[in-house]
Amino acid sequence: MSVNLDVVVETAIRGQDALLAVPIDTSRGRSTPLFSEQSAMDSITLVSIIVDIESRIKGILGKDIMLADISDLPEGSQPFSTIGTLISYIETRVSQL
Amino acid sequence: MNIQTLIEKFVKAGNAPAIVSDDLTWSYSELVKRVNIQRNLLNKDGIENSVVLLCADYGHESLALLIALWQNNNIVALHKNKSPESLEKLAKVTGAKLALAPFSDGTHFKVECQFNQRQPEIVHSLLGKAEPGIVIFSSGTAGEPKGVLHALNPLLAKYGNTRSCGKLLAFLLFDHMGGIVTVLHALSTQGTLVLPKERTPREVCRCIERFQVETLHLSPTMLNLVVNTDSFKARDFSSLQHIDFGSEPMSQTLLTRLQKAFGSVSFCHTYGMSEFGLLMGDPDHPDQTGVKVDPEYKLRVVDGILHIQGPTLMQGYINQEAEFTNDGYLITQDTAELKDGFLKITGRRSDIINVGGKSVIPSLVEKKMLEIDNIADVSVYGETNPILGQIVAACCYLHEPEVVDEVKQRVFGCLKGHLSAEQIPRLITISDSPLVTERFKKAKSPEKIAHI
Repeated sequence: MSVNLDVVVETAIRGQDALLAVPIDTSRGRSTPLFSEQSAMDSITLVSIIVDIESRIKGILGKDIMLADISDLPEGSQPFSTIGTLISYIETRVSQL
Repeated sequence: MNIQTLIEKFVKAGNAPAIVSDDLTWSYSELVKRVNIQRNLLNKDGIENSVVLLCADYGHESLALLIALWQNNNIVALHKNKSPESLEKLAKVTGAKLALAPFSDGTHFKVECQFNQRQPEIVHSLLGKAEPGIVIFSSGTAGEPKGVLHALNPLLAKYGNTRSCGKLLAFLLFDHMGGIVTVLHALSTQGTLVLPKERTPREVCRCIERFQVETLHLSPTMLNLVVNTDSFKARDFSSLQHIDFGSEPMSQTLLTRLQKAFGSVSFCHTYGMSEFGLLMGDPDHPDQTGVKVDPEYKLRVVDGILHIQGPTLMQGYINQEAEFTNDGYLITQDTAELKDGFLKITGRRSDIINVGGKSVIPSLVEKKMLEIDNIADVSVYGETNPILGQIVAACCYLHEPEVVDEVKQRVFGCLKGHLSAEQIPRLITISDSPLVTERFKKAKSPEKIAHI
């Protein structure tokens, strides 16, 4: 079964709206900054999005996926800096399942 | 009070009902007869002033054998499991040379334990004085269960002189402190111990109506389950007068819900541990989310952790060192607030969740979540997370089916502004089963749900 990661990520981000003073603006699509110098996102919101994505992918594929642990990535990797880098990172993790 | 004065009370109670077991009623006279039969058998085998394993669950024969063993000044190690592996393990820990199990005909089954002959030093503190005692195996948070040794007489003195309970439903497990206190409370006040056939909310409801139960000892989680059953609505609970609850924190939201459901029944918060028995609260105190401290006990909170000293404190562990302070207080590992002699337990030290260096107490989050519509019960726990160390997770049991996304959005909406960002659960799941463990306490993670 394939996963539409754009939809999964957008849904996870929108899921945080109820907790945020200002909802995350995703109008720049994959270029939208997430956890980076251009963004005011805090680590707890990032984790909340990641946990939501993990749950949704498990619901679709029936397999556990661990996105928060980036210890095996090359030094300097920034998988959470934009929606685009996040989707690329998830694609890699999904392909390893 | 000692075991002999307890027997004298039984004799005096005569034909009053002592135990309802398998829906049959046994009077105090019949109980005394059963105790005497068991005692004669023990005397014949010379079983006295020793450590004995009693493998049994509630029942009139189990209780008769337990009392007979105490009359012969034995230290009784209680356990329900009768498997050979379990017996070997417990015999080694306690130094017991005998394991007994009651038969329904009034006799008992005896196994000689050959596993070792060495008794732990601590049991001699009682055996040397020919004093009866009890060993309760406490669920340690890690590793092997701890064998908690108590002298019987302080427990009898404490729980044998409390208010009369009338007909008391014995729901808490027989081989745990809650079960023993239930037995001592009922029998030493000439009440009636009603033994359910199974430990389910439906059976609790049936027994209350059928046997006109007046007092319940239950955990908040189990009470919450009971009021959510169809049986609760269908049964007559007019006999019920007192509900003593403990073993886990009670929120005001849940208490209000229960008080509304049970009407004029008086609620009393208790606080117990295998290591010191039960602190009975004051049913007349206006706030029952905590315990008005019994003046016989000394309590203090150090670095958020409760320390306690009092007459029913254990002799010690039989298989490991106990955590006492230099001035004799037990370090409970329970997190608590203590103000003007009023104690509120907030959880266990091991339950505290560390979210990026900030501590989150699960019971505080549960309390807020129980105020949210359709959440019948919730268990809040820590989930390991590589970025923050831990995050707060919540497993919900709902009144009506609802998809997890909708629950999550409602939870977020309700908790925003009431809890800090770290306290808000980021992982929310729904359980189809009530959130209870096999011991009828709140399951502290989805893996621990008993699926009863």
